[in-house]
Amino acid sequence: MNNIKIILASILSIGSLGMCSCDNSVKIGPQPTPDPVAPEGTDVKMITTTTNRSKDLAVSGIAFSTKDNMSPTCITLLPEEEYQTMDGFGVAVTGSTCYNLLKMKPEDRKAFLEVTFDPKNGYGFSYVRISIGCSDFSLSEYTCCDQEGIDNFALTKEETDYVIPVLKEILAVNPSLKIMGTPWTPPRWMKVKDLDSLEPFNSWTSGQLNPKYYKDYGTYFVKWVKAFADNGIKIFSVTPQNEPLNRGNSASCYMSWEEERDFIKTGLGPAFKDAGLDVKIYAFDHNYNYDNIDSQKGYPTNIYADDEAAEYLDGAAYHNYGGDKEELVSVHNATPGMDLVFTETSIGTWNNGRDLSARLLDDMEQVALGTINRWCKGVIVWNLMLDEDRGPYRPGGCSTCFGAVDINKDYTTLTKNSHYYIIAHLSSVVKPDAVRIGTKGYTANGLTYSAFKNSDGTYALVMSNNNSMALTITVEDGNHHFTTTVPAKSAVSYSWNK
Amino acid sequence: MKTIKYAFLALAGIASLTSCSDDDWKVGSPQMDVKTDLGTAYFGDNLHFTINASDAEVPLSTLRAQLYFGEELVSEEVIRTKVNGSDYEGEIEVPYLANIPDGRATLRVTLQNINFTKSVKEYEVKITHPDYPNLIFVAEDGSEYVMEKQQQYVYSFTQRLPQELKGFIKAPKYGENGKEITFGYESSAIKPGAEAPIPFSNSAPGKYTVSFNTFTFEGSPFTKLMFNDKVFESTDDTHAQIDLKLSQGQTLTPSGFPDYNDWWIDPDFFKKESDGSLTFLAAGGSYRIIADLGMQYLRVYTLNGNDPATLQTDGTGAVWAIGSNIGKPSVGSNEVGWTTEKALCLAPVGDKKYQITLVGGQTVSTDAINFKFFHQMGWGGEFGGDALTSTSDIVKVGTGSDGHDNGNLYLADGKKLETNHVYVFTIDLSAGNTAAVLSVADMGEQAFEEKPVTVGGTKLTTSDNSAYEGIVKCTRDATLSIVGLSGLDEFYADPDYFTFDEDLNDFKVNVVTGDYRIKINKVAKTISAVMMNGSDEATFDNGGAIWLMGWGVGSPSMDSQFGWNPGAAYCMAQIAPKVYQFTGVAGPEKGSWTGVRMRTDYLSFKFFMQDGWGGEFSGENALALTENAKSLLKDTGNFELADGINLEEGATYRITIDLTKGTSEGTIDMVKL
Repeated sequence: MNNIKIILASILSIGSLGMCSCDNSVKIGPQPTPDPVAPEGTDVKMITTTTNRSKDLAVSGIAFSTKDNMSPTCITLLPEEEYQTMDGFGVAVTGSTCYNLLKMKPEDRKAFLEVTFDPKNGYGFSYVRISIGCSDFSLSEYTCCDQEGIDNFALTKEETDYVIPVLKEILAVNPSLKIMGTPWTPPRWMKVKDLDSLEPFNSWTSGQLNPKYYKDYGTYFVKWVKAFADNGIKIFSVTPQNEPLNRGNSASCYMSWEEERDFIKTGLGPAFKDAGLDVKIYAFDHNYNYDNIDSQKGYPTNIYADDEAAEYLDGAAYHNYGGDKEELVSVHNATPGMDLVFTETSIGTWNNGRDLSARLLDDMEQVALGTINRWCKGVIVWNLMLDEDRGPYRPGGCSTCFGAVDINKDYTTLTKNSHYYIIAHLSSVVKPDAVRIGTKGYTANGLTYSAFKNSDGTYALVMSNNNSMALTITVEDGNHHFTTTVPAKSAVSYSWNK
Repeated sequence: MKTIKYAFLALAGIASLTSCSDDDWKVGSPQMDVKTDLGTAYFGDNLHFTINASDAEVPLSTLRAQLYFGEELVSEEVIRTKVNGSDYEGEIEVPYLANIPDGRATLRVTLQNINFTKSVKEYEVKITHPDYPNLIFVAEDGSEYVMEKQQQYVYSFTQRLPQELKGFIKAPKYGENGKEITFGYESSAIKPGAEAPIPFSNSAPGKYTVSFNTFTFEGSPFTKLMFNDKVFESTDDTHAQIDLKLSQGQTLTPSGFPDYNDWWIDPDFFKKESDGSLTFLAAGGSYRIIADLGMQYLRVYTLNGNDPATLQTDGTGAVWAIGSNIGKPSVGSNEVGWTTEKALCLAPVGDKKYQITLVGGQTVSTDAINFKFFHQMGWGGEFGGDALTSTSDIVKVGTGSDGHDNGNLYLADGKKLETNHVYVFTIDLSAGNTAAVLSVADMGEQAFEEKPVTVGGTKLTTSDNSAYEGIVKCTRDATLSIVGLSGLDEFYADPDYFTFDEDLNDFKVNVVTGDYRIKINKVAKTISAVMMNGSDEATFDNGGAIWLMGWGVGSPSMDSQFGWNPGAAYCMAQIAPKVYQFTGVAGPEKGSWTGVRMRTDYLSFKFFMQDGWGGEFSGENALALTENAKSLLKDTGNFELADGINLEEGATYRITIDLTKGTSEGTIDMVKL
């Protein structure tokens, strides 16, 4: 009879697996809340996601081994070998994201935001990026000062009715959330066709910032930061211009490194300083390959070379729509005193964005672990939530992007995509102010990992296994060791007390 | 639904099948009696075990032994157990893996009967590393080197070795259950059981240490010359090269270059930055960079595909300089001459202009020049006097009818180049290859950054940081310290004059007390000496020196035979008052090596009282052959090999002149040491 029981259990198990693989969407309601600590009787909390979703941010526990560690596949943490201190991980809370979130029932939205942002009972997303004015995922094209004259600055309905209410709800869940602001375009009255003619350029797209408005535009940033502060929202950082070498998009502004340098040192930097704002400024905010414009190669390092501009800068931000992440290493090596943050990547129809088997591990390797292992202090992906039709989006903007989470038009059913998983795998175990630490020992093709020590006395380890077979690995921290099986084609996160 | 139906049908069938045999079902009781002490083992052992297996009710199926390092299964052995109650013998390998500390492993033994009932026993096995007395490195040519134990896990040997040394490491059988283990190379790492040879490589040939750690499996040296992440390919013992596409302004970060700070940096191609990186200065294109480990410089030339570039009809490509009085890294150490393989490629700087930067007294002679420009690295197209004009009032182009060879550059009458002045020679082909214009810009004096070398506290002089010399007071048996020379173990010091001490920082003086001109050549890596009388070379009458000239003798190798060349004679080492000595290894004339100072098959030499013709040891001052010497030499006016005698290749011979009984009573002795 034992045999019969085994066969039945196997069939039921296979059946349930099959059901999981057919439908990736989740009806909103009570959300699975990750346990903040290791399951009872274990020492190490493990979170696992496989590309076939047989494990979907599944939490399990591992006990420390009591046997001598003689593992031939041992990864040893090196807590004394310190790299960068982490700021956080998260998503862009665009106008479109806020629109979709506000379409949800309040209780559903609350549940979703708690699971996503709660640092104790949720995945603890800790860093978000919002637009200063519109982006290509806004509900319209606008800035906060569309009427000429900086005194005309005012928050718009999109901020007051969408972005700020959502941010307040998120901050209620995670009060230590970090927020980065980035403009897609200055007010059109500040734009010119080019710097030679200085011909006015009344377009949301392309154009350049008129140097005569550098100070006014710096004031614009100050007013925006203060307006959000007045609403109880502290801005942690800004970049002067989203994708400054991109003249396309639904809203944009070309800004060469020379222009950004001059704007920072004569406009933005002094304005923040005079206003007493403690807001980090990250230069560039665009692709690794500088859009193949020779004169713009090394964009941020060119700005750093100017002492006056460098004084105001904390580092540079990068996107991955062109070039290779090794550029991060080059920039770090050239200017090790400057920080790096990764601020945008998207999934979409062009990269099988909804196919977790195609995206999860590539995004772990290229974005999550790939940028952290190359000195990035933060990782922020693009839209938190788009609808099933990839919107709402702006004409001329991205019509083929998926969100980290896609929600059906009934606003009750959502699908987590790879970007949600990669951020969850980081933020659930790596807390803000964690320090990336060194490791030694086992490596294998397809195995990527980063180790951290959190300020709360825990260690964290995040790995991805792109192999078609599971890997048995022992993790050693000097005091404890445990052995884990990393499933084939999976992302895994671990945390444990020192 | 179809799937579900099939599943239920299958279940029903299985259930009905199993229900038939329920009455006969016996679980059984497998029993094990382990008869072997499994308490300890060494990594690499084959751990033998004997286990008696039995089950009174159900036939046995298998006996499985599994070895766990921590929680991880690392070895397994399965034995079919057909006979109840029998002793079963087996062995399980204890893997020898890198970086595994000594510790307690777990041996799990499972006996299972045919009804899947199991009996499991676990044993703690204390596993430690073999403590080998030594290892053997077996080179590809079969020669073996004993790697002595230096400390726990660390084994090494030190020898004069070629730049690359391939082979494997052999560890002897250790302990009762051990076996000989070989370590080879696999997946860019040293691994036990691997068959491919380990490619040890040093940055240069010479005396170096090969080591291996039996805990980490790390070996050394694996020196690779690199620019950024690109590895140079070794072409012989002292050269490695790399082909790169370079752009002007590109940064190259060298690594692996021995004594990199001593390397001469070609100013036409590179600018050395404060962090040691090199900024590429020439126009973008494909280049071959040859690292000359002997002369410590990077030779650069333009490529066309995989070949040295040639000048194209449109003025693009390459221009080469061949001839006398120029050389990089110094004219003294590496004059191009008319050896086409040594041609210098001018750096393309764009717009069909090519330049070579020469420094007076360093890379170009100051009092005369005689070189010309060619279209290729060799003979063929060249810039004759009709194709090249000079705008310089110092450097002129010969026409063939003006007393200077056609196309050869020469210094105008009464003109000299200034020592340490930088001259940039630029050829402009923008008007065509037959209307080339040479300009020579004097960029002013470049402070010579001398890299001082002192011997016994005396600073030697140098004009190019490669050839040094100075008169040093030497005291018999005293120690002279050498400061400013690195890699002394690779230098050849005349063994009759000096003996290096063990730590290679100093050498002991073997000759009588007096003043000696010591010459050090950093490129050739030689140290030699000449006896002095004040500021002049000593003669026999003024200082008691004896000089050797002839063929079949030379120093430091047969590539530098003394011949009958006044000024190039060898000053015999006076190792005691009126006793002179010359020691050398016998070897071939062609393909000799440093230390070979006598030919095996031919000698013809004699001794003089000065560095050249004049007084000599003949006639009334003829040297009498000792009985020993007669077995090797005969006196035909010159000293030659005795009839039918060849010296033994590789053996060391010493020639000694003894004048202690008077100049006219001198003897010459020659012995094999």
